[in-house]
Amino acid sequence: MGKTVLFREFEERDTEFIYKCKNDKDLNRLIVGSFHPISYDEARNWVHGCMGEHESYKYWAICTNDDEQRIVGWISLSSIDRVNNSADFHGIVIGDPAYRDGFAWIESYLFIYDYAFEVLKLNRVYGHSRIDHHASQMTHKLFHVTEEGVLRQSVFKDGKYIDVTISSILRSEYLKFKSEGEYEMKSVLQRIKMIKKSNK
Amino acid sequence: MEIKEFIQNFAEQFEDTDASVFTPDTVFHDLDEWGSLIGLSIIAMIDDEYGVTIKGDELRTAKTVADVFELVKSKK
Repeated sequence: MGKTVLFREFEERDTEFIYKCKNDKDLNRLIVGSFHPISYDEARNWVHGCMGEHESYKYWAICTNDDEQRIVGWISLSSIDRVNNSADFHGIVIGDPAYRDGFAWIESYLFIYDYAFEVLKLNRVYGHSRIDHHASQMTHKLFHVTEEGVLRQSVFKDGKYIDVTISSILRSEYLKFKSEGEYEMKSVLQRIKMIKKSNK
Repeated sequence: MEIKEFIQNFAEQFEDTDASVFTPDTVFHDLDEWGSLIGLSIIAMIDDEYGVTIKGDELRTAKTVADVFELVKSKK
């Protein structure tokens, strides 16, 4: 299957896109963090912060697979811990609605897992998501991510306390599932069908 | 292959959007609920119900539900 998207370093030209996404209340509706509008300068500073190599975090621009490599979203690993060999999969944001076709999203997940487990050779990748973020919860099932527990009322957003789930996948699990073809598109589609049928 | 049934199948992939919203001219990318999981669900539904494999760039090129219907029909 040809790649839908590529992953590259952030560039100055990404600032406009980031400015629009960071100020899109709908886009930020289900993220764990709080939403507040930012200025263009703040967007530029954010982009600069993403550039280059950092010990504890790494950001990539998700971009179109063509000569232009136009940014359509971003993805990141944070809290990279080389003592405990773990990192926080901070999440995927696909800001361009046209690229919310599922393929970019799956490729992004696999890119992060590949980087974390096969390049950095981390042992554990974890993440946090709002309990009402159904897409995120479904993702756990699709990628064989284990939900470890609930951080009760751990986030205050939009005037209410929200539960957050913490989940993880281990390197041994990722490699096993990968070798079994569980991350091929065909397998992912099969699991979606099964989950949808079981939810009816 | 009938478009009415296709629209119904398409609409069923959305959990929070009323089925009455969906017509042949519905620009599905503009729907509030549209997202990557819905996109994948649509692709899975088409594979399951119509035995047709849709690629991401094909779904991306389609603007309306009717466009997706025509795409699936052309591959059968």
